[in-house]
Amino acid sequence: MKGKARIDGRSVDCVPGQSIVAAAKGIGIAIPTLCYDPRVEPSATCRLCLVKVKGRRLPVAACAHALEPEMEVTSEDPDLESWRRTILALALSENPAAECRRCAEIGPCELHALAKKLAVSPVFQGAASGRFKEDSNPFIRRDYEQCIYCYRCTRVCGELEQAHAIAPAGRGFKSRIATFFDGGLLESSCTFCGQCVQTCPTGALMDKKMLGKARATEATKVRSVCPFCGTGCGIELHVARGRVIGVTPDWNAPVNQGSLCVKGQFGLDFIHSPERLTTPLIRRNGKLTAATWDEAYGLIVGKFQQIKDESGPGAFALWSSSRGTSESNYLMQKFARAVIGTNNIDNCART
Amino acid sequence: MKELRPNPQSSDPAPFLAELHRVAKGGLLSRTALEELAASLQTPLADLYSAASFYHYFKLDGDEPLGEGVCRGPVCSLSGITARAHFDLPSISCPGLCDQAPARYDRGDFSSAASSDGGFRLPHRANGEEALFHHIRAPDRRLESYRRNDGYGMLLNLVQNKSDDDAFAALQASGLSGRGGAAFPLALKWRAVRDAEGSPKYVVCNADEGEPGTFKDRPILHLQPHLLLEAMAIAGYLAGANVGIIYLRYEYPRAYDVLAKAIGEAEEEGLLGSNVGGSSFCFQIHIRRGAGSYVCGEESALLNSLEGRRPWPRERPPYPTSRGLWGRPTVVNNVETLCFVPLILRHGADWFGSLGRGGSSGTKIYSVSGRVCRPGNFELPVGISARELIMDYAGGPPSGRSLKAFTLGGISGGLLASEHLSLSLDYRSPAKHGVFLGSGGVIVLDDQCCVVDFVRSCVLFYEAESCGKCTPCRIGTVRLRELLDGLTGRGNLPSGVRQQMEKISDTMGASSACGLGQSVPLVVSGMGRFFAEELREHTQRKCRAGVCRF
Repeated sequence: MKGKARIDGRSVDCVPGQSIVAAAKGIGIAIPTLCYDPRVEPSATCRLCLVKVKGRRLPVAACAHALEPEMEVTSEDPDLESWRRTILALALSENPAAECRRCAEIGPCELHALAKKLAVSPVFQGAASGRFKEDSNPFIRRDYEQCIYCYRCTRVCGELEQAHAIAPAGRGFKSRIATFFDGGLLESSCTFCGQCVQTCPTGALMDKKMLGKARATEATKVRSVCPFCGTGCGIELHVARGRVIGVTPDWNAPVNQGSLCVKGQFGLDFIHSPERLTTPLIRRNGKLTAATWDEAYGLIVGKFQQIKDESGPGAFALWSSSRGTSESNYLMQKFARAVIGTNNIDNCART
Repeated sequence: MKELRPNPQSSDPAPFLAELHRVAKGGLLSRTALEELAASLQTPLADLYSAASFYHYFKLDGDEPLGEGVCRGPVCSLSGITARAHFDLPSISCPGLCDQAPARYDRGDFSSAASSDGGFRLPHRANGEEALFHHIRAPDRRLESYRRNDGYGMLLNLVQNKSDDDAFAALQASGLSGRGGAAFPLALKWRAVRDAEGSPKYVVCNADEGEPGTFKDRPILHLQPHLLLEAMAIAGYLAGANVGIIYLRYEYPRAYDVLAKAIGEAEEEGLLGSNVGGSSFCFQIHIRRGAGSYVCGEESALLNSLEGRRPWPRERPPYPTSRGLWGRPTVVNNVETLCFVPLILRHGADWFGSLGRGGSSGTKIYSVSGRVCRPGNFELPVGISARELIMDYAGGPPSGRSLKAFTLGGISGGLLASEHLSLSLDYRSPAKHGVFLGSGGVIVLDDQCCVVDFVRSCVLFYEAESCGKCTPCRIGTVRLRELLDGLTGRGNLPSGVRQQMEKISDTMGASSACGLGQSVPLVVSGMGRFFAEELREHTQRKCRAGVCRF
């Protein structure tokens, strides 16, 4: 199905299966979206990405339709602009909350950033759709007064993370995001990967640990790699006043493409933990006491030598961590074979 | 779209709804029951909860159980009886007893507060030739009665003589198109399924008419079950499917018994099931009851409902002809459409063509309700005028009253005024007024009715039935109803109310994900175009019919 199509008069090569949104992005045309997350099946719920396709009576959702050869797509015209502005105004009307905490404390949410970009104000008034959900879990704040029901969270939870903890329940304006029988996340199959929080385009889902730490304008983002395992997921550390206040995934990291697990997402507060070890500890008279590195290594070398002399190198087995890099794991086996003299070496990633 | 398949351990092509009905005690689904079901269906708990919580007639532990209810839909609220006699009962969605309004619900059964016929009410007799209703007044529904009039003759002829090409040619020549509302040519659809890659293939009968003012399939489902079964088997034979599913709306519980009995009779006679008529063709028909949801009448939502998913409409293309039930090629046709098939094969395309008027083919079942003397179903030519249908057949408004407005397609085809009575009811003419024949439901308003109040009740219906998938429909229906609340004295009246309604309507019509949301603007814009003065009076808190209280 190779061929060429046109978007806003510009010729584009068709890639089989590629959506109109993605193809447009490839040539620098940003079609507005809210329910779109390229990692999961499109749901075409927000309808903001509507484009006109020549020969079709009604506009189509560009996120859910592939760009096909000979297609002539219009992504901007007065009709589309009017529809998009009305849809966005409708979405704003179900979230009458005065302040968005995501915008204030973490960084601009997609909904408000788009409303600002298109200069859309809430022209419609009426009932609000969602309610704040009390949930005692330590990680995820669920404030559906801010929800626009794009269902990104439920799709990411089901399709991407395969956790199936949350799904849409009820119907129509009374639809809600629910676990089985509307329980808390702790009682559900939630793994607290936090990816619902990260894909959420509003302040409906937020990282509880990040709230109340700083204003969004105070923090800078530092690209880093998650230290918890050897996968090497890209993360962005949010740093304010010299302290790490939270983590968001690096959307461009090739390894994880925006995904993280519970450790990387919510576990990095160990950085500033008062319980963190800052020196080697040696057990003396049954009690761990602080020591220097020279003292610690001296003890290790002495004990290793003693065991090797008494029982031979076969008494050793070495086990290295996949949190280490390939280089450190290489060095570990070198140490086992060349220094200790044993082949008893393994790695926790080899199961 | 992901590769989908039914549970391979189950021989049932669509077990979900049947299982939910099985474990629901008095309509109530308990936590334990859903946990057990999720395990046996291999479905995540949250997903099963998501699907089950969608339907009106499944209540979940903790919900208020629904014992009794009354319809306050667009038609029943015109009857005037609802408000007085049943003011304390909760509302139910239109159960298709609009010709016997108001409709009541009582623990699983639906009845009329005004008559005792319910679903079994006979259609009115037309002066001209009837096709579908020709034998409907026979005193019994048994198989032998149907066979006496050559029933199943066309199916047996097909499977024994393998005359597929002749059958396709006749269906194509007849011009038969979908009677559910979309008017897609039937022969094209069946050919597409026959030629599509993928197996197994399915035939799904859409018996989920939920459109207010539309109850045309009701007499067939209650009184002519074998006509439908024969038609589905013919569809299966021609399209290459061995499984048929009737998706029956929850509101027709007695039709379930009628159909189940008829399937049993036909299987016993070798007309359905294995080796139909001694041939190698096998065709098994299952019935699945819905659980109260208008949007399930939309074919792609219906398929999702059968698969046990949330019944949201799917983005199209792909169409069900290539990716239908479980992602397999699927014929989805409305009851009325299917039932024409054996008749066309028996009497020929020319006969079918001659039934229509003014260049249109065939007859159509028109359901007339609201303020007329003889509400009910009429089988009349496609192309009959609105005046003949409403004034002559349905007897027009009660004596002393005059006709003010009428709808097409239930409430989803649009709203017209008395000056449009000469309109020909076919698949082309209504478009010149921006309206559609749709399902063939016609609701009549007389001069005692308030158009604005009526449009509000239509939008209220859409609001209750909006699935919540797409933003314009999910929020737009609510905002429109709130504006109409203001216009009918039920709430605040913001300035610029008409402009706001226009903006929302225009956006919903263009951008909603399915026909439900796309149709909402038709009644609203009909009110604006043909009843502008009455609408303007409401912005000044005046109601000429005296219905709205300010």
